[in-house]
Amino acid sequence: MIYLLICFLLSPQGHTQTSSQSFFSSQAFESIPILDEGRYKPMISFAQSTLLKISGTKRWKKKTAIEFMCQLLFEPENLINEQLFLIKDKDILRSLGLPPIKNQKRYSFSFFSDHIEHIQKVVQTILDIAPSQRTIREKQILQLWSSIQLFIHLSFSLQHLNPMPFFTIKDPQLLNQIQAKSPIYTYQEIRPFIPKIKDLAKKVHTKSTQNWSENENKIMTSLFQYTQWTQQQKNHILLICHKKGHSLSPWQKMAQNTTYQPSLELLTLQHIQLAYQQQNQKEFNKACHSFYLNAIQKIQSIKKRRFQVEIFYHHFQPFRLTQHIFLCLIFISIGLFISFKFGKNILTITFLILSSLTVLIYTSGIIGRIFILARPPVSTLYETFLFVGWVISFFSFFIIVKRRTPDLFLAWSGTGLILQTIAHYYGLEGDTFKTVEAVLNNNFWLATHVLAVTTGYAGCFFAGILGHIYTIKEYCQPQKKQDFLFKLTTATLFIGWFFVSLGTLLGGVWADQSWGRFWGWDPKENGALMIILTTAIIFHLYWDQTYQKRGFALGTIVVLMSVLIAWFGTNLLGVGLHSYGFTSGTAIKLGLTLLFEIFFIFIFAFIHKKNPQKKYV
Amino acid sequence: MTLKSSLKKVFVHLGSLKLTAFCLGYIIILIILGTVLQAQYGIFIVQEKIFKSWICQNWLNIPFFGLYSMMSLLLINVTCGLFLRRNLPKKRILSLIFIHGSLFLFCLSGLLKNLWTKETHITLKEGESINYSISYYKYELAIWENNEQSEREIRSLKLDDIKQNQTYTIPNTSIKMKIQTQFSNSTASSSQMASNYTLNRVPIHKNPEKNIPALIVSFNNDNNSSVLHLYGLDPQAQKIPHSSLYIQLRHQHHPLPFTVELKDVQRELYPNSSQPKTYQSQIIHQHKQFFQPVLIKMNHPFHFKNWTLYQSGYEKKDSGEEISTLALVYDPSKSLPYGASLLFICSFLSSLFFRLKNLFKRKKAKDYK
Repeated sequence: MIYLLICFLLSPQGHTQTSSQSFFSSQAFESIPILDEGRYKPMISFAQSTLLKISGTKRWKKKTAIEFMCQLLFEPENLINEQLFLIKDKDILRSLGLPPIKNQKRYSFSFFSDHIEHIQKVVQTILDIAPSQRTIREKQILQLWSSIQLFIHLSFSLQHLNPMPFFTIKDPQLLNQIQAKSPIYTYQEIRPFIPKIKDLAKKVHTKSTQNWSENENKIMTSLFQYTQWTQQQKNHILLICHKKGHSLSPWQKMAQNTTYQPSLELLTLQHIQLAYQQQNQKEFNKACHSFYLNAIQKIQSIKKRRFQVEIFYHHFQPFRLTQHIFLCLIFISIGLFISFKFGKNILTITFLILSSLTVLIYTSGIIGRIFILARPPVSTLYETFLFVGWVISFFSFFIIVKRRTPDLFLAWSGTGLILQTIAHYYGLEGDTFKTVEAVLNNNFWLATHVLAVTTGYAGCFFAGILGHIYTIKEYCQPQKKQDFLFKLTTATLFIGWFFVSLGTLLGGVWADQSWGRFWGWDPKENGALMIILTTAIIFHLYWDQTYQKRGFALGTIVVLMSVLIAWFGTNLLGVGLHSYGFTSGTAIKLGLTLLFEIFFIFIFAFIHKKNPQKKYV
Repeated sequence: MTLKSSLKKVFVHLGSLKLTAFCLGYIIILIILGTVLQAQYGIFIVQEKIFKSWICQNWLNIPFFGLYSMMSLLLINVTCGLFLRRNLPKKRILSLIFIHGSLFLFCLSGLLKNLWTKETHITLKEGESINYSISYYKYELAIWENNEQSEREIRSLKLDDIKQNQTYTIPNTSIKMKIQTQFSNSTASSSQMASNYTLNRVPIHKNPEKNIPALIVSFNNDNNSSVLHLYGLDPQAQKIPHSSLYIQLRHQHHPLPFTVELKDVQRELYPNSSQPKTYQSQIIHQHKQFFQPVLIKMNHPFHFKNWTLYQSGYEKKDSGEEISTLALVYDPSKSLPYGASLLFICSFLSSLFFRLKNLFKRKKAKDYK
């Protein structure tokens, strides 16, 4: 690691042409297949997850992820002093003995490079602690360390293509001696001549060091550096050289080639790098396309169309788009509350057009994910938010089209925005197209149990939102009967109740099939049971006429709280078999939300008691 | 007030929906408590103390009703409630009977599972066969006499059945064995001077598989007496006239009505990653004279009568030897929760359909009752 770092820092800064890249597009590089985290993905997916891990963002300094990746691979020296590494908590730096800089969230690699050894020691002490006993700060330090390692490894992934002073051989006499026809600059170029250099070195060895000529000195230095690079290089992150059944990094590919001659893939990579450094768009695109075609031919498991859809998905960013439209729709809904009749018609039509567009984009995004992953889109926490948001948006869309009331518009767009924002927050953790764990690797059960439970969550969640609106509207307009809104709330909750029950029972059957027990009191199972029982109480007390419509509406908020506890809260315990959703740092946000809801319920229950003359129902 | 009217009043209260809500609320509190305590005490202890108990006394030093008590009260409430509502329209009452009847079935299956279900496992190397399974966390005291024969007769006593200070006579001998001390979980230290371990009692671990039970046993022969400290799974020898007796604390062994031979075990990883995609074991299942090749993998268990075999674990040793662990569940009431689920979902679905239909027919609120 330290050796790699020294080599990296020694690399000739600014040796290559670094003209403005404003007219140069790296887009052709995005389709190159790479094997990462157990699946073949286009380079754009890898670039995005890498940039997210290091910098916590999908765009960095107005650069796209693929532009960042090209720079990291082909011109890493230009990134050394760039503020790249995101550190949210300055105490992390203090724990590492580094001075935090005021008003700065991102730090450059050079900021850490002088203290790598110290950081490594701190990391080692953390690694000695059992994972379950590590503090959040310790986990963040490990995360930072893995980002630094990722940066070093990736920046070194194609260093064999970069000119290095110790590999450079220009002297015609020496070139003649090793039978090279053109000057040598890089590790890859010197490699075919290593047998000759080794022969020369044997002769040089017989002399004492003082008697070495300049060329002999050069020979020995090159050989020494070559040996060091070959031994130290264990860089297996950039797995882009594919063979039937497995994939290799360029370094592995070179090591496997005993003839010392670079393969077609390595030569094409060299062309890509050269074209990038010379900003030769035509050559760059051509070389990238050739590399892509070659790779696709070798990996038979890749379905070309699926690959293309994934690239399109990243460009299109459907959920980012719908998030923005939801925000616009909220403003339109608010506008509808305060506008006059003429404005109302225009705003309603605008709302309906935009909401149709949202449903269309949202649905296409969900279908896109199903197509890319070849499984139901509900195996991570991120995906459950997306799916719950989609279920609500899709099914309640028909109701808002029929009723066209501003309160329903607000509930619809507000719910969509909340869920999309939470999903966006979870999506920043890295690649969202993850492979599933062995026990979850069953499309039938994912498509039945998980879809049913998440649909149930969606029903109960939306009923809670409608419950809020009903309570507020009833307070603001006591003279108006909110019959439809109440019926809609009741129906939504009932449907949600049914689906949570169905999903939980199907989960029991799945658990029985996988682990030999129908019910195991796992926190996630308990969470689902809690929703079922809470809803049962709300309905039974309403049927008993213990409370009326307002009480029922407030009850739906209690159900919403139980959904939040089941969705987020159970993951905070860090125990159980549903390990897909362990999270940290959400406890405070969840606590505040629950407090707000309790406050809301008490306030409206209190208002109801204080003003019994108002006929609420 | 006559006795009849008093009983009727009690009956009305027992069947009231308020009592239903109270029971459900209490169960929710138990669930929250049990879920939160899992992180500290582990699922096993919490299940025993809260979810599988009538009265729970371990926490807060205040006794409170466990899940069994509440479920019983809920079932009484449901029965009384259904009786009170017997005059409802036929469709409604049928739907109510089916939904709540399925709850009865769930409770019954939970009870039966608790009584009958045995969860054990078998761990096999490739090529090995076995006709017994091993308990995860229950122990037994096994005793056998050293003889030169290829087969040996092993007698065992379940640790749960052993009582302190009780004396047992070892069959075919005049030796008497007395249990002096029993440890549910212990640590042991040994010194070169002492022939026995020094045993220390430690609190029960939240993961029951990590508990190490121990026993201090004394043996009395006609003339001699000796004390043995049994700790861990190593057998210990006790000399008897003309032979020696072996005593071992071990996981409970359960004989199986069939034999399982492991032919091959595989772990499939996602390409270039250490994340497993699936595990699978190719076994030969032998019952009497019948041999059946079977492939067991994640989410694909093998069922045989009331037995089910699941892929549970995989280990690859440094030597390259692969070991498969299969979970074995014996459950005669297996189909009961399936039936209850089907009944519940069908009746819930019909109820959902009628309620939604009624809801949007603009009927009065009391019709939803």
